[in-house]
Amino acid sequence: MTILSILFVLFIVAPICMLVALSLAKKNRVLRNHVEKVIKTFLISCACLAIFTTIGIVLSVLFESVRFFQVVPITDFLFGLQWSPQMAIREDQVGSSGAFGAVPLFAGTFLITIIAMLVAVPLGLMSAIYLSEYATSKIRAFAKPTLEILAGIPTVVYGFFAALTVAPLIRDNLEAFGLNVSSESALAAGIVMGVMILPFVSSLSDDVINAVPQSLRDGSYGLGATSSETVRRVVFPAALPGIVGSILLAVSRAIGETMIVVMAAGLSANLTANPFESVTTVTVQIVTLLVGDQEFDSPKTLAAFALGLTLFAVTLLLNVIALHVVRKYKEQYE
Amino acid sequence: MNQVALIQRGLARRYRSEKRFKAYGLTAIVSGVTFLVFLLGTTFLNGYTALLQTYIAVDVTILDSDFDGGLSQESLSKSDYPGIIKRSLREAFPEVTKRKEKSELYRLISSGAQYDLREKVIDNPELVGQTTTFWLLADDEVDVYMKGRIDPAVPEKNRRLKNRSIAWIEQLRDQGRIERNFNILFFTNGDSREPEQAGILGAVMGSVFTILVTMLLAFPIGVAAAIYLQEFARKNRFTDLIEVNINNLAAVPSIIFGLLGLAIFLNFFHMPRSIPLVGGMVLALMTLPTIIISSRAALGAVPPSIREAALGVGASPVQTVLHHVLPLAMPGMLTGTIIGLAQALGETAPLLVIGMVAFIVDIPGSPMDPGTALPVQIYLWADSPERAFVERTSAAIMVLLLFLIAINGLIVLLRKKFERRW
Amino acid sequence: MNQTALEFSKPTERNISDDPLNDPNYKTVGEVTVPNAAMTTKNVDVHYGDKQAIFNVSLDVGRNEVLAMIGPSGCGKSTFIRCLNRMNDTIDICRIKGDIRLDGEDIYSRNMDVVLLRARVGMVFQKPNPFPKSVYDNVAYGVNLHGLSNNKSELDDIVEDALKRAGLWDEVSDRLNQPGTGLSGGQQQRLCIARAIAISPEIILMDEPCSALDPIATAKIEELIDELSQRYSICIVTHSMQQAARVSQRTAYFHLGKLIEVGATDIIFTNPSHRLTEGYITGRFG
Ligand SMILES: Nc1ncnc2c1ncn2[C@@H]1O[C@H](COP(=O)(O)OP(=O)(O)OP(=O)(O)O)[C@@H](O)[C@H]1O
Ligand SMILES: [Mg+2]
Repeated sequence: MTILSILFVLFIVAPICMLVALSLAKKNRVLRNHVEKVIKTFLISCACLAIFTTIGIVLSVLFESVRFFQVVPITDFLFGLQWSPQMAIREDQVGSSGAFGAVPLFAGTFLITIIAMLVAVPLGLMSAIYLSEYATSKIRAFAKPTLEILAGIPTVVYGFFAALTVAPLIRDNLEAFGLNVSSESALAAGIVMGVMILPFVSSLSDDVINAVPQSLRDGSYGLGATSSETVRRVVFPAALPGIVGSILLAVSRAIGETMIVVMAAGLSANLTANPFESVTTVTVQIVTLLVGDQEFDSPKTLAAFALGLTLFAVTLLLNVIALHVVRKYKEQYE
Repeated sequence: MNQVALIQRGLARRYRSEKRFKAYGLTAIVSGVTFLVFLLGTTFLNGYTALLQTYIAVDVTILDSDFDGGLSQESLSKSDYPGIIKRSLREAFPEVTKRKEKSELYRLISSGAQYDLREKVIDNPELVGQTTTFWLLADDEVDVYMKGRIDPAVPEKNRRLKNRSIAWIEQLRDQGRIERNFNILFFTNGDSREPEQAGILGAVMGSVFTILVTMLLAFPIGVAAAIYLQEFARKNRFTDLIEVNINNLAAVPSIIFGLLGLAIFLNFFHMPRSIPLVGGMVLALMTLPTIIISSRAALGAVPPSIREAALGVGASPVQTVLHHVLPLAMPGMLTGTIIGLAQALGETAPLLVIGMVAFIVDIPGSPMDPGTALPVQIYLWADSPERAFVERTSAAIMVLLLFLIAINGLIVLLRKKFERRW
Repeated sequence: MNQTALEFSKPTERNISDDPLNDPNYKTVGEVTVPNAAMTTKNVDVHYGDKQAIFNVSLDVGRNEVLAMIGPSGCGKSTFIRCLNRMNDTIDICRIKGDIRLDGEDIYSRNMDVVLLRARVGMVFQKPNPFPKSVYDNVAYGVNLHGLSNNKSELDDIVEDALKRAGLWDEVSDRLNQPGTGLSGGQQQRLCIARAIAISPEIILMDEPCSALDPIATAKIEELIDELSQRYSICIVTHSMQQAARVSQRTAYFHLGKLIEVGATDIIFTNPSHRLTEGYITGRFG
């Protein structure tokens, strides 16, 4: 309760008091200046919270990871091909290092991300192109909000849908062709994740495509190009850097997505490129390592932070690059 | 004219490829829409049956001898109600004599029925000594069968509900002693291992407290940060850093925020696990970038003329912003905040990490009571093997989506009401 | 005020309406038709939604002539010129009525193919709009679209020829593979002209092709227009009366969506018949 009341005072009562004080101090210049100083300090500290959050993330993840790497060498973690954290907590195990090779997780994450992108990029891009170049205003008025609904559905819903409906559907259909498909196949999780990311790709590409100046389209139409020729030969190449940026953002999304894979992908760390098999991902392992009873010092718990650090570093890198690319691209046409 | 002929020769091919390209675009949109319809459709078809729950009418004879301490309050509440129900069931099906069969018979009625019966007896002590027909909560397997989701053609060994039970259910059905009623328990109960007793109220309250904490933290902080960055900050390295930081934070995977909460709030500050307060704090950090970015946009949309006018009549910069700019930007800021909160309401992963996945029957009464949240409840139920949880999970999803629809309706309303053109 | 109005009105043998703007049956002064026209337009009306932008305009484009269109801003010059190759099709709310023929074929008829029409009636825009591709690819763009070359060396020849005729070859022959957007403004505009003439159109429409250029670049383009008129019919919209006087043989004066007067350029500029034309070219308004 104490924490609750501290927070309440700090962020609800204090701002109100400051506002009241400011209106009371209307007449008195000196007093007003003091009150305004306090208000500005409050504003600045709130803005700095964003920095503190980042620092907090980096420190907390880094700190626990360093403790993990004291037990498991970082090279074993990054390049090891064996992942079986459950065995590592047993005392009689000969060292725990062999069981924390994260390569299968990286590979699984990669596989599912690729499948998701194979769904999201063509569909998202083509929807964006259709909406901006072809669709009548009626279709646009219907299709755009519909795609936005897709973006607003919580991922846990996608996860349930993937596990309950899509995965069995894919398994049964492909088994009819004699294929052996796991009921937690990477394919099901990837496809559903792709659909989840589709509106993200489509709205980002829409922005990017609309930033291509109309004069370029006019130039192409003026030479007798059809719409598709204009899109493919002028608009798309012109928008390419921006589209690549958007796709990078989408990839970062897919890598960090948790619930769909937790519910629809598997737990076993198979090192495979076969989309019909079950794979596991970094986020799945973070959740499984941390859910349930945990002691903070076991390598099992700490491993989750090492995975978190990797995830954070990779997504951050992707985001920084993507935001930079997109900004540069937009400046070009300003 | 040779030229024209040359162009004409290629036209048919070019128009075909034009058509194809257009068809790809349409296909893309149609597949997105189809998926959405498919998702919502299956969820609804799976979930709407959870609104009904099967009850079985049993003539319950309550004997004086069931209460060894007389009819005092204490002995009324302590009596062996499961035993009473079992006895009544034996009486209803006198042909059942074998031990194994008997225990199968007892399983028609939910283990939760006894609490209902006890309550009724405590409220009405005159029931003692009489035979009364009670509608008792049926077991989830019975419920699933009644909803037509168990195929009797499946080999018996692959079913949890055996042929004998099905025969009894059909017998009860013929007697009009089995009935489906509105499933009030789903909306008033907390979680339970037994599907027929599981409800979403606990999760809803958990979500309410979580989002409340998120809102109380994220809104003032977000607005304050936006005001500073948009109105007061000079353009320099430091504010650039904050800005880049915020843009990147907005794209950090949500589970990372869970790790942050785990390491800092739980491990370092030793806050209790599984409480909505911590969940709300983590989600507040997560939604902060969204709120700051949209609040800045709202502030930026207020025309400079308003600031100039206020400064012109002698208001200080702080007064100008707080008294003149802020009220105009408020609708936009609220909209941004609500969008952020909607996102937080659907968020699951960080809550899993900070332990809001515990199995909690009690309905939380404050942000400090252990609880879960609606999306986490969906995750938990989705993980449960019982067939009956499928419809409950779907129904919980429908409730979650209803909340989100309501929130988005609110956003639309806000936008309509305060839409301003400068 | 009265005095000036009197001064403007020069009644001729033709019945010139004094108030063309309110007269729905206003008839253009001068000869709108030419013998053996490359393109003819009759009674063209253009609407943007509810707003009418062109009122009953008839005007022919002669073969191998440069036709200049002048008039105050917003009078509908761009709108009219964009009707001639159906560029207005790209604007949803734009509706066009009337009869526009290219070599006697109605360009708005069902049988007319827009792709083909635009290949025959090229267009150069106000702001240079080279594609973000190499100089070479910019010029080759239309040729490739329409499949006008059979092999690489033929394409090379077409590109070189177009760049030469656009007077750009000497400046860019050593950087054909560099982006067209890296050229100077005047070079970019000549690149756009090269792009248009690479597919050998019959008519070239130019909408204020020099308005974004400096005087030297403008002079180059004007020279170019002069040369091009040997082979092509050219319609040019311009705000510069000197330019119109320098490059064109005929001039048409538009005012608030109506074609007020058309005639030989030297006559329009020395002895206009209509007071509105006179007012514009003497700089009294516009
Ligand atoms: N896309 C459009 N939608 C609606 N109205 C338009 C559109 N384009 C032009 N108009 C209107 O049509 C009228 C004629 O415009 P147009 O661009 O043809 O004029 P202009 O003579 O080319 O002017 P300028 O010399 O400035 O280029 C104007 O009143 C303009 O507002
Ligand atoms: Mg114009």
